[in-house]
Amino acid sequence: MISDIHIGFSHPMHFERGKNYCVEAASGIGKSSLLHFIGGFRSDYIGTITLDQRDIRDFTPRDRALLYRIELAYVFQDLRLFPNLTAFENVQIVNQQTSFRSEEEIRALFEQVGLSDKWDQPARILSWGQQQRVAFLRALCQPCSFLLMDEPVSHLDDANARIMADIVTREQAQRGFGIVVTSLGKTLPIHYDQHLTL
Amino acid sequence: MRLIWKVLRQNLSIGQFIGFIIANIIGLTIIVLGVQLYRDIQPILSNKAGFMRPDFMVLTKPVSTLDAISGTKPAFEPGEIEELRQQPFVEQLGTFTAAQYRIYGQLVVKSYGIDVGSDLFFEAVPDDFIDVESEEWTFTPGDTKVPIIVPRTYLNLYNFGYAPTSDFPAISESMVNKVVLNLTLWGNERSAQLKGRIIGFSSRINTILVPQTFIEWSNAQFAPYRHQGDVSRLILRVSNPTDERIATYCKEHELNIEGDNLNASKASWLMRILVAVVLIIGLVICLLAAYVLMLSIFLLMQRNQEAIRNLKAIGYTSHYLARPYQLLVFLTNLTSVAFAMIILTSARHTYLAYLIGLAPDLRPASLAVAWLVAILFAIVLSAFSARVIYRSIR
Repeated sequence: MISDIHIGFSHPMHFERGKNYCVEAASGIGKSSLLHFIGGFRSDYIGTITLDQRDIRDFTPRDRALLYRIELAYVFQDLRLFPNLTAFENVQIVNQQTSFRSEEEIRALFEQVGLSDKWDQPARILSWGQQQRVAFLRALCQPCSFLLMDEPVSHLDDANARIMADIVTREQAQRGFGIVVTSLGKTLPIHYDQHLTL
Repeated sequence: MRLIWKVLRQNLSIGQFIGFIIANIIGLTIIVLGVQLYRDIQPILSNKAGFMRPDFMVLTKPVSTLDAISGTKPAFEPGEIEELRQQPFVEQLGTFTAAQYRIYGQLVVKSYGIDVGSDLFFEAVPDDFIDVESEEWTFTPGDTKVPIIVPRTYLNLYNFGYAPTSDFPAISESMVNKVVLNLTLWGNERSAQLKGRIIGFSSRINTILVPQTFIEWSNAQFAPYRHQGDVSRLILRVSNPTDERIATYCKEHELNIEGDNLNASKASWLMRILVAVVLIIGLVICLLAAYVLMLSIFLLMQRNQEAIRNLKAIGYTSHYLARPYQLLVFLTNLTSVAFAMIILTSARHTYLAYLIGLAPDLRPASLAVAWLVAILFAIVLSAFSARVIYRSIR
């Protein structure tokens, strides 16, 4: 279990497991890039990023696969859903790796975010807001030490953002993961231990 | 794996894959057909009695007028034999060993009124060079029966030359095999009576052959003091009878090539070349097909690059993601093998009928090697593709 992430840039940042962080910045400053750097998806930066004192650049492809499967759960800004899979299959394709949740549990989550009628619809025909919720559920269907969400409620109304916030708070209370959320303005309404500005 | 395949099969062009399978089937069919045809005609190419028995040459030294006057016999020196043996075109070299004593043979067939006799000569060559297969071709000192092989031309001379003019009946090869020759050997102040049986006819060697063991035994018995080492004729098996170096070597060393087996030899050589060409064409088609398959897979992976990247981002390893494509290639190759073997079996059925008509004694080879080649080809191609796919996904 990774307990902390350290960003050794000119303005250092430190994320601890169990705590919530909100990274704010104007558009184009590098919020998404930061999340990509943490997971090792990109390495075009100066400085070091360590996960439990281990530089992310030292992770082998196999280490990274394991990292994405059980340590870091992402909700990407571009969502990265598979358009030809149904909403459920998009969640199941993550869940099947670790069998983290049963189908009933996934159905219950779909119900809570108001997507039960979209269960077997291909992701490509869902609205962006619906796709955002599917991507969110997908991230919750894997074990993780940190949940990294890139503008997760940018296309959601307040009610749906509230529902997501309730689910993530409940999950965090049970599982103890850390949360890093980026925001352009509209923020996932949860309690944050620290607000960071890029 | 079902969901992964659902993602990764996007953009799969069925047309391209069918194209590859057809090309691969054609290439693989040509390869296995070439291999099988070669194996099926191998007995004709190498069978000692085959109509295309190739690549044997008998070399002699010319007899000069001086030799004739002086009574010296042209013979090969050991150094000359060794030099010839070292030549690149020589695969195997054997020497003729002649009987050094007098032999008288008498043929009596009372039912046909035949009673003829003549002085004879015997020679022996190593068994590998003899084009007659018979279990009777053996002699152990102490035996009273000697197996003999005579040139097929002798029988023809008798049947079509001597018999009609002498009112003797023509005789068949099987009849000759039943005839026993009374042989009298003498020399070294002793003689012996033996029975000779003609066990076969040679189209290759123009002499009266007896087993090497018999010549060695009888020379020791009846000519122990005569010089045994003289080699007047050599028999060669050459790798390529059309090799110009043979003619050049013989010309330079003033050697004569007996008979004219070159046409059969050339035909046999040509057949091998043709089989080799067929195999190469098949191989080239298969490699091109494999190349097309790899291009198709690369194109598919390129089109699915984003999906592959996203699958990696949720924890799938390159090994796992490569597997569906590797399986696809393997199954495609396996399909090609199955079709190629079906076509081979059917084509073989047709050509075997012709081959058996040409050589009734032909025993067709099994399909095992063709199967092995096809499966091995599929495995090697699949293994190579698997590696390339994994590397490009990684």
